[in-house]
Amino acid sequence: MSDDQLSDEVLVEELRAGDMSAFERLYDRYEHRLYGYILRMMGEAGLAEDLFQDVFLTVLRDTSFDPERGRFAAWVFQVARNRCIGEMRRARTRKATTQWLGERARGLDHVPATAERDRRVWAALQQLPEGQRQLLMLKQVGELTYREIATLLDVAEGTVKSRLHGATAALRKRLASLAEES
Amino acid sequence: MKIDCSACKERLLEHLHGELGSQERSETADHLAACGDCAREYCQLDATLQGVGWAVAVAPDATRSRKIRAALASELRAQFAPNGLQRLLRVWSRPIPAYGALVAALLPLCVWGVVAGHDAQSSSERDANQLFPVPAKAVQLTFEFEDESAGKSSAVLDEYDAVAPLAPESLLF
Repeated sequence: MSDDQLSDEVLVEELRAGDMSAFERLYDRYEHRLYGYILRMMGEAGLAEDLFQDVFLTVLRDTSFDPERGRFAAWVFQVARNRCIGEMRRARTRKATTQWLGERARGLDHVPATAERDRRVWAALQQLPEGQRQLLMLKQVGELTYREIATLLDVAEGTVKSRLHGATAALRKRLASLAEES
Repeated sequence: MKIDCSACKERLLEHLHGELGSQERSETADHLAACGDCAREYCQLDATLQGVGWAVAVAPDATRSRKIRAALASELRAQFAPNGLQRLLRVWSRPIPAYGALVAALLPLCVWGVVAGHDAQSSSERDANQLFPVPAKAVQLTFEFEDESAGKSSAVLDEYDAVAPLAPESLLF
């Protein structure tokens, strides 16, 4: 089996056994996905970098994660989501909610996108309600299964399924209207 | 069982996400293979959702990325990377390097053993020669043999040299 085919869980085991090349491969796999997810949650690059580093270090150092009981990706995104929500709560208590929401929205507007196509998709995503955007990001960026998302959000698997249908339909509608506008 | 377009479109998202059971997956795949409209719909849905991944997944800028990677590697190395003894034990526990290491460890020992053995043999020979000196030449050796014509007779090997080859002319009858 080649290195690229090794599962995240195997790489975590190898890292724990002292193989630092396993860390390099895990970093390559998660850098874009995890940092991107955190950046879209927080809307500020500096904060997202700190949180990304903190979250990734936490999940890799914490030996309580048992690869036989669940996927590494689900755990990473669960930790990331919880950390982001905690950070948002702290930020909200420091600032007035309206001020915080305004700053976050402005930050999200300036989140980088590499191509025009990505900018359009991100613009459509931003028009979605927070819950739908979260769901789509967990599915498409976190690559979590319906069951993993259901556990993370503490809802039934069927609920995830129907909400994803709704979120996908809403996104396609927004994309179509953005395409008409342009 | 065959499904119609309406049932297929209901399942497209789960089919894309790999969340259908084997029977439903098979039915949907069969319908997609036969229905152009549904197949086009499926491709559009796939492209849209892949676009979400591309639009969201970005990396920190290259300099920050390198710094973050180095900082994480340093922290993790301190926790997980083995020390010298652990590294040695790990190498030892792998079969081929272990045999290699064994040979490498034993080779100088063998060489030393051969050299030391040779030295010991030389010195013991020297010691033995000192204790029981072997005369370089025996003065006289007498052989007795039966001769058919002359009866019992004897031969004398004079000036026998223990080292030199036995010369036939040195035999005196």
